[in-house]
Amino acid sequence: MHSDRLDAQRLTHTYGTGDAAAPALADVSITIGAHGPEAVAIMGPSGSGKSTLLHVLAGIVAPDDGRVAWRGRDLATMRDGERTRLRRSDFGFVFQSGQLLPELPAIENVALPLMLGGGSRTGAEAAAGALLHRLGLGDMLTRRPGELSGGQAQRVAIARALVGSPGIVFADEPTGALDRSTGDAVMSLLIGATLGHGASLVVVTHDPEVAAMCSRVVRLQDGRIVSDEPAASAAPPSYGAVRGERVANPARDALQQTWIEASR
Amino acid sequence: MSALRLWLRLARAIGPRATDVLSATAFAFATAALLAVLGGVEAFRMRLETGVVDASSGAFVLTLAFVAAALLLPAVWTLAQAAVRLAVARRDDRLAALRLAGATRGQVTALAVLDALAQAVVGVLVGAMLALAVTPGLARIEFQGQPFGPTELLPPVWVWAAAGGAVVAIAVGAALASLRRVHVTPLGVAQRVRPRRLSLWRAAGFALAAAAYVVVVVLDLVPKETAVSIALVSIVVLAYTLLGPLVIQGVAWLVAKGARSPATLLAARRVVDDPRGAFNIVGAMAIAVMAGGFASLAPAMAGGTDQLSADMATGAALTIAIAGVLGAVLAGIAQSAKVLDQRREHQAMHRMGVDLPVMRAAIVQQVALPLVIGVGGAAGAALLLILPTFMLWMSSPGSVLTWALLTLGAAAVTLAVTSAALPLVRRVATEAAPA
Repeated sequence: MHSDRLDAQRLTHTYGTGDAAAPALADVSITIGAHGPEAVAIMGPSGSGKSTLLHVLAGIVAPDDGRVAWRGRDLATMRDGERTRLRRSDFGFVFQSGQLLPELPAIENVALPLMLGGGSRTGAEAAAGALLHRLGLGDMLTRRPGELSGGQAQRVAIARALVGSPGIVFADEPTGALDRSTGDAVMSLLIGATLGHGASLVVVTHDPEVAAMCSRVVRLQDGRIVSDEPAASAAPPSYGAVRGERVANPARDALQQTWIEASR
Repeated sequence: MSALRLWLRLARAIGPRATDVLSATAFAFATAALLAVLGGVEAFRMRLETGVVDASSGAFVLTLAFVAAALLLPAVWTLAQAAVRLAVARRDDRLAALRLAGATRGQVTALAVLDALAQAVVGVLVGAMLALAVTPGLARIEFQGQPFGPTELLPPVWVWAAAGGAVVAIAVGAALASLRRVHVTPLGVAQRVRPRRLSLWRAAGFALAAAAYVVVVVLDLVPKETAVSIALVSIVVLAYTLLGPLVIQGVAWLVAKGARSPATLLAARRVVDDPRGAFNIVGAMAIAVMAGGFASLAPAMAGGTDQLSADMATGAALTIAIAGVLGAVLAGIAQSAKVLDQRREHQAMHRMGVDLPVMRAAIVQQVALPLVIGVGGAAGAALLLILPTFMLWMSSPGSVLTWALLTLGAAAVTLAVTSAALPLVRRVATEAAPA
């Protein structure tokens, strides 16, 4: 059994109380990374509970009922501070608009998780710089988020998510604010780099093209999982899965493959 | 629906929030400080006019009172601006939603102005009561050899009305200015870019003004007393607008470069990002501390018997105290507004595993850093410049000790009030994200 395994059993979560109660998750069970790193897309219409599921899996929101275990350890048994440290050390995050810290230049944004983990500033910036170079952002190290394009900012966010060598990366609509071609490139990089680092990826999206790039697609409706199957056009879950057989895009696939190989 | 009716309906539905109370508190302190300062100036003027005091020393004390007022008034203005910013920061989502729902820019502007107006009016009324409450205490302080009668320190009715009107006008003006940045488009959240570097022309401007002053003095163009007044007021205004933010930005940049802890890095980068905001909190305090350092030496130099020098030391101490209170309230309000302004960043930091104590430490250090640079620097400079008179201090240490304790007290109170913003960090960072 793979050690970087996230197990969620019978998750239930409701927003509000009484008449205003809105169930977001109803008896959801899911396992990520059971057989090695995989890219899992969580799809569903607005209000289906996708983002809530992501937040519960990542230990940001505590479910009303059910259990989430990371590497066999129940998140509910951890103290708040312990869960925060877990998110910093074992998880990585990429959000729709990057959510980089606007005051910090790119290199400091990426170095921050390592510094928070107790790393030295020099070591953290060296690691961050190397990663940004590999992501093609070598000449953007001192740029602030407001001076980067949407695609560049998302690549910085990917670097920030991966710099601590997490076991799993959570992404919430990571291409939602990008145009199609930039979004495709970012998604390829996100999947390739994450799997290349030996981490699993959980990506919330309502874009079928993004989902098709993943190895597995979980569909939610009204807070319940209605299907959980390999992506229609994807190979079985493995590093190779991210190449997919969907619309041919040699440049994107070459970039993704190069990254996977470089990351190994 | 008219903007007024919509505003009344929303006000009834939502009720006052914590930020409304904070804003009104800031307006109250701004009003009370304004009334206290104007009351003091008016009292000195009346003493001079009615011949209660000696004409030449009375005129000099009145000039110093004007200088103190000139020093404190920008702090009052900044405090009122911060109050409005806090109110608008919490409302920009609602204002944007109203714009999306079809409200015109004019209607949204009217709503925000009505919000600011309501808070300012409440603040002015509370501030007037606060001024009345502290007047008996202030009246006990002896100036010109005699304490004030409480009625002496109460300015005429027209001054009260003008002060209240000025605070309300500042509120409305600042609300309009804030909205230009906040709700231009229904979806508009301003994108941050590299902070505009403060130009080195500031330093050149300062040098030019200092040179002009030297020329005026050397050529004996104006009477000596007037030259002193010009110098003091110029230092206040120029330091305030030209040099302070530049120095703070430069030192914060160096601190950011060498920062080892994430909290210091974040705090220093934020100060680099907004050096004017940082300086606004400490500027009045810094100048009051610097001037107070010199003034506190006056009694020692005069052998402890001269009334004028005692008045200078007392006035300087009072100015530091008022500047300290204004700075402290401003720090609390400004940091609360910043936490609310940066709620998305705080949420992102919480999700990616930044500990709440790190976020809180960054908020405190954002004030501590300019405080050390501005007030610490001013105190250090004053000490250095009066060092040659060390033996005089030792012979009459009372006023210098008072100055040192007030300086430390003002800094401590500022940091203590800043901590009022800290509970907001958890609330904002852990706020549930939409499903």
